[in-house]
Amino acid sequence: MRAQVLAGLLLCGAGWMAAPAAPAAGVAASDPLTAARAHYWQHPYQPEALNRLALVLAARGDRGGARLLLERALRIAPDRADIRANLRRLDAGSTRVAAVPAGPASSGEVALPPLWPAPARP
Amino acid sequence: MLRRLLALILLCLPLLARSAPVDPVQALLAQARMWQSLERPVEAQQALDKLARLHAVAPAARAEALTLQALVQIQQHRDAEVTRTLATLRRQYPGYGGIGRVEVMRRLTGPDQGKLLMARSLFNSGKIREAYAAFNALYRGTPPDGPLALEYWQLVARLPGDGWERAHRALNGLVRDNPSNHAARLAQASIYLLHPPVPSAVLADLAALSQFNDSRSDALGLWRRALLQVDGEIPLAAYRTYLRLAPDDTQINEKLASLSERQRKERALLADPAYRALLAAGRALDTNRLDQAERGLALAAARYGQRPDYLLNLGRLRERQGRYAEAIAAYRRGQTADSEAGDWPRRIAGAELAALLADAGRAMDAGRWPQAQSLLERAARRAPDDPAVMVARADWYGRQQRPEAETWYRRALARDPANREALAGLMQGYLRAERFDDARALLAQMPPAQRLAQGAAYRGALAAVERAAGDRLVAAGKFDEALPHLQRAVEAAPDDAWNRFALANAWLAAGHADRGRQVLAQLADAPHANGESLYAYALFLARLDDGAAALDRLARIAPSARTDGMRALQHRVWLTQVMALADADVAAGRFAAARQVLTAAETAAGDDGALLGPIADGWVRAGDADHARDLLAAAWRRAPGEETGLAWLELLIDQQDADAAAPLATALNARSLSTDGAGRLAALQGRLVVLNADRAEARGDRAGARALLAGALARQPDDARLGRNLAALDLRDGRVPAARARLTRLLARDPGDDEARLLWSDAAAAGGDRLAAVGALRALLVAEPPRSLDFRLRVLDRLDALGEGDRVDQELARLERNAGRPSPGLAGLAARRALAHGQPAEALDWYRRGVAPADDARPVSDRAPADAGALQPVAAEDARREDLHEQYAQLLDHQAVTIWQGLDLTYRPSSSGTPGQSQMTMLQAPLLIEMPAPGNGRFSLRADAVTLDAGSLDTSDSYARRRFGAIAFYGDAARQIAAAAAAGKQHASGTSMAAGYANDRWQVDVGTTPQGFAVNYPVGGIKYSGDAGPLYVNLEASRRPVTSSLLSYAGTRDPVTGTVWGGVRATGSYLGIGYDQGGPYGVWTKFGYHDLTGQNVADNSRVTAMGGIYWRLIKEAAREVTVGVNSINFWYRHNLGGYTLGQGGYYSPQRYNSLSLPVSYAARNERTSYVVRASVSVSSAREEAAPFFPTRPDLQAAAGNPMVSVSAGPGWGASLSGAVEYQLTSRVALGAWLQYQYSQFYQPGRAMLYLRYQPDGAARPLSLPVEPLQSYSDF
Repeated sequence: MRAQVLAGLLLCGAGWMAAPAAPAAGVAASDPLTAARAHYWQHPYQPEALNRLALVLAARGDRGGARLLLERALRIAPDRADIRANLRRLDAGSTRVAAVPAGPASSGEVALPPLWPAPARP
Repeated sequence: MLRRLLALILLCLPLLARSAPVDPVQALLAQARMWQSLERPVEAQQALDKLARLHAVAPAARAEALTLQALVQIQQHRDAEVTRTLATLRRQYPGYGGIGRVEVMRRLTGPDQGKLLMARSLFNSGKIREAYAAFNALYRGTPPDGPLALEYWQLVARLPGDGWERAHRALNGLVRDNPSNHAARLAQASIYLLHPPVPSAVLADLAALSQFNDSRSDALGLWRRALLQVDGEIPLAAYRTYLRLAPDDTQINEKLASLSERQRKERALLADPAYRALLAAGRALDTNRLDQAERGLALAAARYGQRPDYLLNLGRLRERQGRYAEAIAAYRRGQTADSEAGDWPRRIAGAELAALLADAGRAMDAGRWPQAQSLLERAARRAPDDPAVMVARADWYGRQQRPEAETWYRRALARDPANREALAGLMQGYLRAERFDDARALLAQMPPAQRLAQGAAYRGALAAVERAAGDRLVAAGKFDEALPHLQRAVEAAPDDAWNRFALANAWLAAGHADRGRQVLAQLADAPHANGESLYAYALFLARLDDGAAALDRLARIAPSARTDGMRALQHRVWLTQVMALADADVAAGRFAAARQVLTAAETAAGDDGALLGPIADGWVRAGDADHARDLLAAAWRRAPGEETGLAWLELLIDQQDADAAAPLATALNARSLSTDGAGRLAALQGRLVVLNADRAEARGDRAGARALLAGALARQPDDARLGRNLAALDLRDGRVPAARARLTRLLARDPGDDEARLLWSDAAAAGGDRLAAVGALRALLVAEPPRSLDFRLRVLDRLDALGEGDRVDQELARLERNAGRPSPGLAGLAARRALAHGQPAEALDWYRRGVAPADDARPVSDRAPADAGALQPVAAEDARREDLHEQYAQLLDHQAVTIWQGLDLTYRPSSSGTPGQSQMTMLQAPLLIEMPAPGNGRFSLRADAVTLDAGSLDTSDSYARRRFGAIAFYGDAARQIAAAAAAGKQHASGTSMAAGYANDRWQVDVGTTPQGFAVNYPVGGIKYSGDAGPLYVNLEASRRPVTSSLLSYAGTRDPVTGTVWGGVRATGSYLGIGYDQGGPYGVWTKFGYHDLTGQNVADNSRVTAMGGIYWRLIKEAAREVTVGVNSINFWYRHNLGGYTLGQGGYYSPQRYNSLSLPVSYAARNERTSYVVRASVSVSSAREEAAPFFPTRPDLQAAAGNPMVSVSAGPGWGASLSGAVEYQLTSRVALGAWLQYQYSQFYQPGRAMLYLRYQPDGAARPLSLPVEPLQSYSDF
């Protein structure tokens, strides 16, 4: 009986813990958190990946998790002032993330140097 | 009368020209000079007489007056007076320049008069060069003033080369100095007739001169010649003006009528677009615009195709196009159609000769030397003295590297000193043979006339010699010595942009980029710089990474002048500029700005795959790989061009999407690609095969990987990448000889394949040939030209691994000098070397420098993002710097102090054990402090507080009480009960202490079992971990406590004899051998022999043999699933599992065999890691009978020789365990560990909680699977 209880406890614990566990790499990035986690585990030592996941967690209210990641990012990239600035913002209570739309920019003009037309193909 | 009037006017002109006061001395000198030059000695003498009456004449003016006096006397043939005047001049003004002028004039009118006549005769007979030489010999410098000078410059104007320009400048000067000199103005006008049509301004001057008696006749003559020498190029008004002065000139009247009629017809024709096209074609041919001429003639063909002028232009065009047969046909038709003889026969002959020479040229190109020779002989028979034929014959020799070429070129040059092809061929031969001195001598010996005739070709040849000499020195790295040569090349041909480019690059190589800029800017920044000079400057600026300036210069090139090379440069620089802009935004975290740049670049690039590929790479760097794929996929759908397809395929392979890449590669393979495109596709297909092979290998399918690589190599035997990858696979499979043989073959084919050389050194090292490996690596290190920094670092990595640390340190010392922000490779290697030298602080410093952001990647906060309060995305770092972060993190954690505190409960309830004996509740509180140690190791200090409780003997259980201590010695129950009661509660407590050291290879610890136990003793162990080929090996020697029970671990006191017994320790060694390459499976084995001894416990020994195999069903960064099969077997010499005096209280079957099936699942996220393990097992064991008191035969005998009975049989069991860690803060992690075992008679459980504290915070993520704290008793 005790054995069954202990086994049950362990399995329940595992089930509870499995929820926040990272998905397999390569899982479609339909959910920002899933995508950020997948990216993080593909690049666990990439400061940008840590920062990205931290921002998603912060946006979801998990400030502790976000802080943990930003601190670790700073530990391995101590001279990244941009990450330090994010940590300061988080400590100041901000959980708002600057909008970063994906894909091509829809507005705003950029003045590039002119490009010569390609020669006419015979 | 008119003469007087003219004299008066001339006299008055200087006065009229100036409003300022006039110096009468200078005015009279000017008058005298003018009259003298006009050969009017009487008037000149009058002016000199007036001058003689003036006082206060300056010495210089007096010397000039004497000179003019002598010249006037010469004109008047007053020889005696001339002699006197000259003597006075010499006496009073020795060294005055006028003396020479008088002497020359006297010589010309005296002894050299014949020579002067001869020179004029040569001039009049058209022998211009000879006449020029004769005049120069006569004058020995500048010609005398007056008519002789005018005659001289008219001769010079007829010289080839720049003769006309020189004469024009000189005559302009004479006219400017004396506008009233009609003879000079006539001479000036006359030279324009050499290059008709004469400009309107010159005709107007002739009209003005025709108003004066002294020049009318000559002016009208020149005017008339000018009008007659051209055919329509001069406006008809000029004819009419002339006829007003000479109305009876029949020839001009007829010419005017003819031209008027022609103009009328032409006006009619010009209304026709086809005729205008014909005229435009003629103009296009004049300026060598062949395409335009072709179009014009095509438009004119229908209406004017039979006209001689059309056929002439058609012939010229075809001749220029090298279509000689068509040219000849056109000329022949023209000849037939033309009513006038014209020069058709000459054109036909010329075209036929050109056709022969062209055929000979093609034969030479094809290496058909006899055929070429035969054609050249035919050409020579037609035109033996034609320089073009001689040049072609010289080419025939020259292209076969035969010395006769020089003779023929020289012959051609002798025949036609102005022949530029001959000079070029001769120079080319000299330069090819590096006979610079011969080339210089040839040019130096060239007569001035020939230099003039060669004109720009001569200066080009001079430049070419210096350029070639400079280039040779540049190639040898002698930039300072090259500079003067290249400078002279530029001086010789200042308009040659490429000589300037060479000089600029030499300045750059010599460390003076600014001077290089100046050299090119002189030409390129001129208002009307040509395309070549702008292109050359742009190329140089691109080399200086000044893309903006390069684009600016390129933008000044007119669209019609842009070549493919210019266009390629413009696209390359544009792309570099635009991508740098986007990358800078990405680096600074300005993703929106980067996207705008990339979007604009996409728009500009249109469907140009060559541009879209790099732009897609930019999207990947900006973190939007999906858009990169979409961009190229859409471009491919819209316009499936070669460049787009190859770019898309490369992106897919970069993203390791072999499934999507395969059909695209097939589609591209089915297309007809350019040579370059086919080469790129073959290389990408090779990469695709390698990618597929890597995937197969990752799945554990090494045979599949090998088959893929071998199959592709059979299809593409020249693909070095495939060969190298197959060799690398051989190496990983331990097939060293095969790898070495394959690499040797690769290197035999391409000795310069550095990657193969690197792998060859790996193979040599793997084959134990360290010396060969080191030799190969050292050769790569000193190879010329020096390899890239990254490649050299890879070589150094290998040398380091081969123990060549000193050599690596030397090389690093050189590289470190310039390492401001070191490359990841350099920082990593320097850090590893610092660690090898026991300098972890320095290693950390290197890592920190290596991961520091670039100066230009300024932080977001410094750029004031638009939404300053919001959390900002940050820039990603490249893969190699990411690796460096990982190494940095590992070292940070390694160098950090870590403190663990745990609470460890082992519980074996009464259902699983006998109270007072095998029942056990053990509570341990392990404290562990880890800190960095030398040798890349870690020190550890441990203090484990331990409390053991086995309960009390059940005095009522006669079976149990007889099996403790020596209670069985008492025969009666009452004494046994009393003794059992005296044994009391079995309890022990104490604290164990230990210190340890561990690094990658060694693990050492020394400690004691808990002080406070009935029995305690020192324990410890030493373990070595190493590799033997693909296997790993562990060797361990240790003494460890047996913690099965209170008796075996702590010992206890016998209530009968008072003897303390127990405290069993196992002393012996293990050997572990296994295989685990991180792949899908692993194998482990462990063999051991241990002596088991204890205080007053019988000695025992144990042999252990166990092993297993496991499969990683899932192995990802964040989760793992493993299943396996394990077999555990051990054999104890004696059964000492009892709790009587002399027994050890530990399970010690004489045979134990088990087979278990374990399964584990581990997963983690950013702050939690856990593992769950379960297994089921079957076992078989046998315990032999054993005496109750093995160390006390006396007691054994006295007790009636009681024995522990034999026990044997099968069994089964199951176990479940789990561990979890939770990162509470960056410094604190909480952990828990649970274990439960179930078997028929044995159900122990264990639980642990622990806390881990890292004062500086964790640098690495939580480990997978969890590595919980271990109590010292578990070692």
